[in-house]
Amino acid sequence: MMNDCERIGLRLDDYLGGMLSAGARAEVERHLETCSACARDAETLRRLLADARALPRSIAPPRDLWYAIDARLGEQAPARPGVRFIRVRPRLLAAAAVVLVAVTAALTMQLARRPIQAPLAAGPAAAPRYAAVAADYAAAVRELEARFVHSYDRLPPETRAVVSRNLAVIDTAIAEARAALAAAGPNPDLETLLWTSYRAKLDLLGRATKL
Amino acid sequence: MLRIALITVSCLLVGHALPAAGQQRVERRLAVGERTPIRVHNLTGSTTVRGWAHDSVVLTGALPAGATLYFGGGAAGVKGGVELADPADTVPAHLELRVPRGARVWIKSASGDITVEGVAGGLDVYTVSGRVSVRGAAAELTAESMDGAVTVEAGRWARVKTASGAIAVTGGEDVGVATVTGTVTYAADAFRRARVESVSGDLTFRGALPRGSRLELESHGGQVTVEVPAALSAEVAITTFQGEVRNAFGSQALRSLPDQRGRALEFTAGAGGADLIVRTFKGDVRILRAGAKASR
Repeated sequence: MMNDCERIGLRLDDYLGGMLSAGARAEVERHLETCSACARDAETLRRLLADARALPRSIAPPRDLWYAIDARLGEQAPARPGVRFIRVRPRLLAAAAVVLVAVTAALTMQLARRPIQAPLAAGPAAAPRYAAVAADYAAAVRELEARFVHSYDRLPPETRAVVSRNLAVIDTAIAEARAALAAAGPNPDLETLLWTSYRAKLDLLGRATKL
Repeated sequence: MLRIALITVSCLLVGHALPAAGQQRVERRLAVGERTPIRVHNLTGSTTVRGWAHDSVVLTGALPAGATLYFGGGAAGVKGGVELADPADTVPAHLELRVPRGARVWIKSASGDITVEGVAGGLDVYTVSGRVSVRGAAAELTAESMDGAVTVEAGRWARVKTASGAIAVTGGEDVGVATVTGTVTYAADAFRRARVESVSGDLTFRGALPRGSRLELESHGGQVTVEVPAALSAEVAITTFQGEVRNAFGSQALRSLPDQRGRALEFTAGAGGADLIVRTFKGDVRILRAGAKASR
């Protein structure tokens, strides 16, 4: 059984993000008035969030570098049926790792948490944020699709079928959510559903390229 | 006559002890630490891992003819696996390992099934089309299958993913489950935070929402079913755009949100104190009392 501090601690993130209902918000505020430890935690978290907001919105890897690395990796590893591991120069591998970390970190920070924390009511900044996040997702999907094309032939036919079938379902869901958003305008709940489908696509493409 | 019978029985026993034709039997042992990380790679066969109360790893198994077993390491880490003579070989390798209960175990397969029992440390299992079964909650668990069914008992932290494989999760404190087209059944009554999502797969939660817990269920097109006790105590928020909502807790009507924002149903059951959030695009939502007969 959690005590009050543990329970409030779980809600601090949502509280500071303005995502709690009025009743829940009042409950948190009442607790913070009487608990100095939780109040300190809240203040620390508030400062962290403020600092995070001051960071660049995304860390975009130079596109030329990404494709150049991809192409050079391809040159280093001519296709050999059945051989999955390739030998590349350490420096090249390090560069690829840096780009991968940057992309993953940016996506994780900018995208992954947003659907969970999306407010139930649309705010004035919803439309620009939607456009920015949609652009981030679309770009990430394009990156992974390009990589997936390279690995597609290596996959067993049954795996290709599974991946293709699931990608088709995701694409339909994305199209439906986008169409609804186009008709309805900014809508955080629809956006959340759209981000979930985008995340599913990124995840599936990512896994398929690693097989 | 007796001699013939004895010879026959002996032959049968020897035959049983030998691997099937074309297979080779293997056995390796290593002394390790209580929490030694262990990595196992077996692409085409079955892999079974059982935790035990000894600081050692014992691997036994049967390999296809021509396949090679690599296995080595020590307290700092153990790595083992099967290399097939021909990558297109479809004869499966079967591995069974006994590992320290507190070990962190990593298993990767392609078409093979993975079964784990009694590993409490950490567990990372990946297969493409094989099934995953985990019993005995690992403190941290990541389980992924593209197409195979995944059935796990979750511990403190669990993340489970499939593309089209069905998922069944029980227990856990902090649980994340995601699938594209597979179905998900999550049963728990002592979790702290859980998020279950799909694109078109049906989602079902069975259990109770403890005070302070947060359960999110989200699907674009799958049906979401929540089966909770009549004494539910939670703040419930349901949003759907084209789905129907059936709510066994009160008579609150689904209200249309302005500006084509869909429809929502929000209410507090009992004294509140937990959060139940359901979001679908076109999937139906059913909030049922446990024990009530469900119909689609």
